[in-house]
Amino acid sequence: MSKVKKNYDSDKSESEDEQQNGRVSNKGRKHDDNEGYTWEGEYQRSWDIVQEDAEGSLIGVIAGLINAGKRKRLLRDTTPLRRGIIRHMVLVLDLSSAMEERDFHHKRFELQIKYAVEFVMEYFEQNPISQLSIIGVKDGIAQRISDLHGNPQSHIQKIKSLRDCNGNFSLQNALEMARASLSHIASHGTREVLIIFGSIFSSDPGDIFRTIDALVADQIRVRIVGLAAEVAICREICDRTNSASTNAYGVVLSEQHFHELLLESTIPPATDSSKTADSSLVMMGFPSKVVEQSPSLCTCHSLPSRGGFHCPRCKAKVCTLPIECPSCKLVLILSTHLARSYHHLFPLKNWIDLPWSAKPTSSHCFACQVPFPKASEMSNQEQMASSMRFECPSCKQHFCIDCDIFAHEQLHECFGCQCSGN
Amino acid sequence: MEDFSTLKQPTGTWEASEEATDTPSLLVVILDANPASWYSLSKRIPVAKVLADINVFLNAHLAFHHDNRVAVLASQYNKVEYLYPKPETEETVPLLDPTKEANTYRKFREVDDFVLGGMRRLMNSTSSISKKTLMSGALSRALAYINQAQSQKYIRSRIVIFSLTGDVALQYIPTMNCIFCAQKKNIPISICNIAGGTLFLEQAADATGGIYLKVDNPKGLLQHLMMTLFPDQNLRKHLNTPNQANVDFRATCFCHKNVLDIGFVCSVCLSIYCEPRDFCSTCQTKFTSSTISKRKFS
Repeated sequence: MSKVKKNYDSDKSESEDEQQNGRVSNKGRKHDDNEGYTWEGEYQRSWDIVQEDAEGSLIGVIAGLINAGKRKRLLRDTTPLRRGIIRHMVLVLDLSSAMEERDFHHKRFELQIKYAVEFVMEYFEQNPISQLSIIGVKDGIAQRISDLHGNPQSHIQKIKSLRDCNGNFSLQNALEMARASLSHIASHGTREVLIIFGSIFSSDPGDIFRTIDALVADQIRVRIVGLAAEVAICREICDRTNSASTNAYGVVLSEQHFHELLLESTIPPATDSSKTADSSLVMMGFPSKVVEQSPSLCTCHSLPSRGGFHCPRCKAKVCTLPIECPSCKLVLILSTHLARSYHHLFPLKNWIDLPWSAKPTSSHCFACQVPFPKASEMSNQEQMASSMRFECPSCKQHFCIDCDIFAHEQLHECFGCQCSGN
Repeated sequence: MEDFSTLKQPTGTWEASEEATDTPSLLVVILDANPASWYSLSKRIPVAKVLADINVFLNAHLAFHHDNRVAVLASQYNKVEYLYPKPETEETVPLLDPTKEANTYRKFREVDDFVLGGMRRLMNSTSSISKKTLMSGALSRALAYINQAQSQKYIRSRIVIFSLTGDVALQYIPTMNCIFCAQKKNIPISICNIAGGTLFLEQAADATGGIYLKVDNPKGLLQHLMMTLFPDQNLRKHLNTPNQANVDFRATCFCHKNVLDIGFVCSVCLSIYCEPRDFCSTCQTKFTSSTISKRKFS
């Protein structure tokens, strides 16, 4: 049996690679009689990658693998797109009997709960002025687990109290209930649905295509994360409700991939250029903190506290922000909540991986002072690839790979641009 | 052997508590090196005295645990430099004169000499009078240094900023990004405000769990530092630290720079205005509804 070599191209970004594999293709058939079956041919023998170098040591190989993994970081498109910052999302959890499968650790249901909690926390961290509602589908009917509001703790409590799975999943019921929740949202906010779909069929009471038409008319965008296999109706829903360029339907290949697909939805979606008529000025209040001598009740929870924030319009006291004032319905936020979304609107440019041919003269990373490897120290094949220096196109400073990852994923600022006088 | 057993602490109360563990910590200090601000400070107290107090503070941190580390950054109006640790390629050796003060502990000597020499060099290097300082740049490099230090093994870190100049409005977004990153990584940013006043750094201390200390009398700087800023996160629980009662988080409008209680926010680019208008000046979107749109909740 001839070996079928898989393309170990490490420069391709990981999720792009895996999303291609996530689609059902006709690789299931035997190509010719000499090869074995596909599942034999495409089996990745991970021990083949690791080879000893001339002295029989593995240190260089391991370091090279780690560096290649770091460089595979998703190079995002950094054009400053218009994005929907004020988001309203409905998360649909699958509580059908398909979630009792044990192919993830150690049941699909438990992994879904764990990642849903992480999703809720990350969503509110990246989009503090947004709202979330949660729906669960069990026994073919959709149940509202939590209403549309902006307090992450109460969502997490409700998610953690879910216990059992039963019955079938119904796409139409879930979408209809989500559509009802999102129907009265003002046009400047986004309307989104994120479905975790663990089964491969859906038992619907009516014509789901009517529901899809209604979703398109209401401008609701649906994203689906499939756990089992690609299902044609999910592909249809995602293609029709989103703009043509986005890939809103992903099927998971592993637990890590599930995590990545879920957290992709925390990034604010780019607004469709054909639908421009939904921007307006939103009135919001910016209260200041007060500390009181004696405790008083807050209007949001009716709990006593010795301080809080006074609504600038009606002077009611609330204890947490962001919140809608319970008496006059004014949205109350801090300026830091708005500031959290700025890095989506003004993304950091990607840095250029400098090859040795560019003859770089820097010796240490500008940001963290770690020394760069010299040309003589690196092995031949690594020299071909990169000098491990990353240059910012604006300020022309050189950074190491750790600072590159740190700046693009956590800090969203370029150290060199901030340290220059302009 | 029975005599020795009574000396043992009751198990579970001492070893289990985190404060008792003797772990090293990393302190990153950012010094504001704007010469104009130091000059106005020098009228009240000589600069050498303030720097000497800061040096004692750094030495005390190094003395507290053998593996404690320190890093010092200086921010000017046009550049940010690492004063300590210096990479080996630059001219570091001449700064350490081995014949002078040979009895001082070497680590203290290094830090003192580099900080004092670096500050002297930076302040002599320019004669321009500028009210700016690159605080956001220094903060981002400090965070990169901490990220690098924590990449092999976790080390508890904190940042202390000595600020003398006010805020630069253009640095609001980068400063906020640094604050959110520090919040996520549990790095408290403490501020020692010797002169001037900063709003962004107050918000930084409040958001990250640090201490904002406004020093009224710089002559007592060392006492302020040792009592308030010297203990790290674990010891702070046992101390009565100054708290900020009224941090001003209110926004300023983009058109007149007034402080606002109620503002109008563009839904596309999040710019804040004090009164309703027809189009947004930052992102040029025309607002569709002529009346003010109120967000509707369920």
